Amino acid sequence: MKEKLEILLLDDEFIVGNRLGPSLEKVGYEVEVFEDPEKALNRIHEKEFDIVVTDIMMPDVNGIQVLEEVRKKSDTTRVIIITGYATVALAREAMDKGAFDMIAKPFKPSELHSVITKAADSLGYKKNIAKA
Amino acid sequence: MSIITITDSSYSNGRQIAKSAAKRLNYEYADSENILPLVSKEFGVSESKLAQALKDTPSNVGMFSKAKPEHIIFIETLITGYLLKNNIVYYGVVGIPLIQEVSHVLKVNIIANLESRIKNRMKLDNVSQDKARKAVTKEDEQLKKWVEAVYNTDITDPNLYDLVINIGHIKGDDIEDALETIISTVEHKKFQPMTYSLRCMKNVATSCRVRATLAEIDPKMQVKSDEGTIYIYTKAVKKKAQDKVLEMKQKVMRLEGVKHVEVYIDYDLFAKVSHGQ
Repeated sequence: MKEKLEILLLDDEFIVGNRLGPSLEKVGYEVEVFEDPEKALNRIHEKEFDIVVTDIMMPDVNGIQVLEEVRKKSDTTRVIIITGYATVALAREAMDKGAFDMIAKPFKPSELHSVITKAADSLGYKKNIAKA
Repeated sequence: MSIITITDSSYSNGRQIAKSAAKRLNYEYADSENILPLVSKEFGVSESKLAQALKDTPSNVGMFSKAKPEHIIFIETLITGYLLKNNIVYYGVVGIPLIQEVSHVLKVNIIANLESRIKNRMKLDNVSQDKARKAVTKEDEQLKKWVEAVYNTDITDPNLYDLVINIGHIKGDDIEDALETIISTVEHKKFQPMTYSLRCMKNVATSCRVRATLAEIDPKMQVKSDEGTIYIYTKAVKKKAQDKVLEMKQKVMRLEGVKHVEVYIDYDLFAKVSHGQ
């Protein structure tokens, strides 16, 4: 098993990645932050991440498409959806297509940490992670 | 890890299906009737008054009736609080329109052939066909009116449900088929709880708790809740608005998990005139 959990974080709003990326690195994860969905998809095709955190509403490519691409490549990668446009239909579609969880924006970094910890546990990472 | 809600037209065996589903899935079973003793204990209202609030048609709900809007709010509060636990089958209409946005709730409506329901009533209550027909029709109308009055919603609207199951002639096989459909549907991943849907359920439960806390002041107020922030929409005459806002804020801030309260007042024109403002 890898020493560090590898996370890809995709959100077209600079502030989201800028805030969440360092907070996740601080607790011991290896994080790659993307604002451009196309670039993120290219990276997903190159490398198998443990966890992908993606926004939904982005130009050209939406988060559900990212989820579908991840599922094509890997059965184990956990996909966490973060969105400011949460609805019951979207929640069900995301779960139906294999999302691990969905969080409605705005949320506190601690909420994302908690979901990532659950995803890490489900992948067998039980090491103690410093609290955010 | 999900919630199933089941409503039905009268004498369609919805309760039996709900109990069987709970047993098969090893979920808890709850309905608006068996929850009344808990509501009575918590809010100090007699069970008979609470039961009346579930039966009274809109024309009877009001200041001259024993059924008060706050009694319905008290029942909703206990039910939505109960649904926070998950792994529950809930049979009843109280609260159903409030949880439409909770994605891990599978909402089921059971319907059946009218003649079969009449026969079912004749058999269960040992009454004539004529009496059974009148009773079944009356109960359907009563429920429809009650839901319209309380929630401004048509309980027979299929858009309220994820599954509408017509069990046709209410034979053993039809009931078993309905049960199988419900169980296989709820096992689908899209009905599993997630952070977002759990937050929605918690927000609904908190809103109900706030309405119950303030029911004495205004049982018709609208309340929205989001992660501890409470938005209250109420009516008041200008003169008394400040005192009302203060009283509401003080009461709500005492509730567990409440961090911030915002009160929006719609100045009541009728009250203004009657108070000579």
